[in-house]
Amino acid sequence: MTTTPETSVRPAGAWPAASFLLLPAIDLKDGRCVRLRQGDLSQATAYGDDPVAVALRWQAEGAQALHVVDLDGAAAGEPRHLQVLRRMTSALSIPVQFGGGLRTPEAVADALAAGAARAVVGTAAILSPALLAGLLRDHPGRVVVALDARDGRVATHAWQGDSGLDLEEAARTLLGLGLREVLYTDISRDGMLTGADLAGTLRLARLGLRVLASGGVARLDEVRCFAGLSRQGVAGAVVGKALYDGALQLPDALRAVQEEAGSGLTRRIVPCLDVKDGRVVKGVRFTALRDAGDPAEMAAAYDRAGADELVFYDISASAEGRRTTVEVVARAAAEAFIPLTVGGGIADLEDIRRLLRAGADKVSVNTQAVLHPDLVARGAERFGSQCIVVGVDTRRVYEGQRWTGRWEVVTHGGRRPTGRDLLEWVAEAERLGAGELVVNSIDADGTENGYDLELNRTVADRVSIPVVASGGAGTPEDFYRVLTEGGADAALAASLFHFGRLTVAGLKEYLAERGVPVRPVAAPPTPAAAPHRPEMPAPERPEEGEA
Amino acid sequence: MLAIVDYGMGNLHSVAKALRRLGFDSLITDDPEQVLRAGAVILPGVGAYADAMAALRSRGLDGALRQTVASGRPFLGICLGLQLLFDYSEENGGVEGLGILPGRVRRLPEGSGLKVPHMGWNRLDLTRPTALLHGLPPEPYVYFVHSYYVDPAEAAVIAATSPYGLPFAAAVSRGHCHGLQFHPEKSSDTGLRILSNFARLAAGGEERTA
Repeated sequence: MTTTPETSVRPAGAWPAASFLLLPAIDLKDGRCVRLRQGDLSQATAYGDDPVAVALRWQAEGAQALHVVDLDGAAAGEPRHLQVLRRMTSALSIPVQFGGGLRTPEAVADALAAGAARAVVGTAAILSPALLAGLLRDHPGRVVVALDARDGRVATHAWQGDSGLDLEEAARTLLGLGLREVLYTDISRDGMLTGADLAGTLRLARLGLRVLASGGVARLDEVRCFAGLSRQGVAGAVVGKALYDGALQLPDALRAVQEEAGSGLTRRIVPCLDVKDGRVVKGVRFTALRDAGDPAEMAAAYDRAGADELVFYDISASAEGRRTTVEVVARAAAEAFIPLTVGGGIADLEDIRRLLRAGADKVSVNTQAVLHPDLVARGAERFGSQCIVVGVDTRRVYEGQRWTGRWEVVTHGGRRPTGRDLLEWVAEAERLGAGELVVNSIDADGTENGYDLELNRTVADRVSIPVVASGGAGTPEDFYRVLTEGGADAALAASLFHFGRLTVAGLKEYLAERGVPVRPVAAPPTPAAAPHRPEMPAPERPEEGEA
Repeated sequence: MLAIVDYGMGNLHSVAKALRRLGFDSLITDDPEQVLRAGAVILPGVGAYADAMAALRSRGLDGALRQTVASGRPFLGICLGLQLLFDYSEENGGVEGLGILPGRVRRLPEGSGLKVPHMGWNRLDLTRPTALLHGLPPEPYVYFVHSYYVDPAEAAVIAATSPYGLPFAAAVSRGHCHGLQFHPEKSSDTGLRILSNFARLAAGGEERTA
């Protein structure tokens, strides 16, 4: 590495205008790159000797900007590694934000002169509003304040001090001074790979600040989650330890950011109604319906309640019963104006044609798809992949007490094992032309202990078509987990909604607060759609209606 | 009378049912004469571009549709019906469209990690006020199912975009000719409002802002 005289330092590159930035962190101690656990200097772990080499590596992997912290500077109260910063910024083509010990106007000016695009100030700004006001005036757009918090209170002086300030109070003061962006770290989580503080990040964002989330960002679904909140004020995320550990690969994380920040597609909440001989069966207890057994009226109620899609599952045992279902679909399509999927007992192209013609948007084939894969292929070719859903019932395969790590396909409503490997079947279903998968865990179904997250994640990683999780929903958290960790695009549930233990609106509010993108429920549900309290739940497995 | 063009491509009845719910009668037809006599025309459609163009031509509907738009009668293309308005589609190895609006139909980019088809509810970002998209909630969401998107030669025709990897044209309007990439008939209240706006334009209202 050649030493670079100060005069040759290029003017700082402009900070990227991206709506969400993923910033790899480089922590400097004794001129080396280290990572800390929970901000304790005695626990520093060295990852790479040369910070410039590390910086170049992140740049090569696609980082748009870097976050560099001078740990010695933070402890000393004045920057110690400006020389390293200078070397780094002259070697890089991406901008760097630099912090640690920037407590005076001179220190900030030095850091910016050494090539930092932005200066991150912490203690100084919090203890002296006048100083911050001056910095914001002298370096507009180039000053970020690091808000480090422990238990909702602002921490200062390299995390060892407590300012006595309430976090939100401090944030309001900073906003009042004209600050736009903060770097927020919950230091009880930093370096612990337990996940950054999403709730705190959102609280600050709601005050009107742009917030860079930091401290413990560890998993891909977490990165995705923060990126999906860019419109709510989350400006980016700083990732450190997870990158150095290999828990997170930067290219994967950047791809996830691109997907999430560039997409407004929401996760879907899908109530499922069992229909038999033209009537809704089992567990529908909505009040204010003229006829709670009428699928069309139920469908309209769920449209008003904010459901994103509906599934009618035909469990009629007779051909006559199924003909009635076609009429019911036609009436439902005149009452509910959200997508409708019909499954159960679909055996041939004529069944599909009849249901689509009646107003179904998609049909779901399950047992028949396993028995006659050709039905999927011909259905997709004739009507388009977008309307062919393959439903699959599956359960874990055990050897004695031990799970083998595999799932097998079961048919006939979960009654008949096929010995067929699930992953092999879903890959084939996609290849045949299925436009979507509904994955129903027989193990989890009816337990209300949560979706099988591992199952959904494994399937979602295997196929590139949307995956609808089914079986096991009991609480809002179950939906949250399957739509984040589980990688599902949509979550299906039946009795939970029908009995009114969860409303679609309430569930969506819960998910939105936690950063899951959902379609907002436009108006409060009308009384007609508000279900009353359950008397008793009846979790019970709907069977595919094959006579 | 509103004519819904039936050319064997997809779910016409859903559009008719939504209009019925809104109190507007419509006629489902594959007869070019009836299309020409209609006060307004809706071209829905789901499926392959090449099949759709062939189906329109074989029924003599392509000319009737061009004439409808040229005459200034309100026209609404939905999903594939929007895409057919343009010059050319990359689908099926390259197919010529109706050429009513200049531009191309392109495949949604794969490899960015986003799933194709783009299926589900996405946000509609209005780029300018139009009568068609008037009165929607502040952050409207609508239902999409598609693998291709339109890339108009004149950005000025875009009325709304949706973000999916890139912001793509979700709605276009030029004079009385409108197109929607999403399915208003499946987009709950927001979609019904849009269909109602169109039906009102068709019923004789002048477009206020285009």
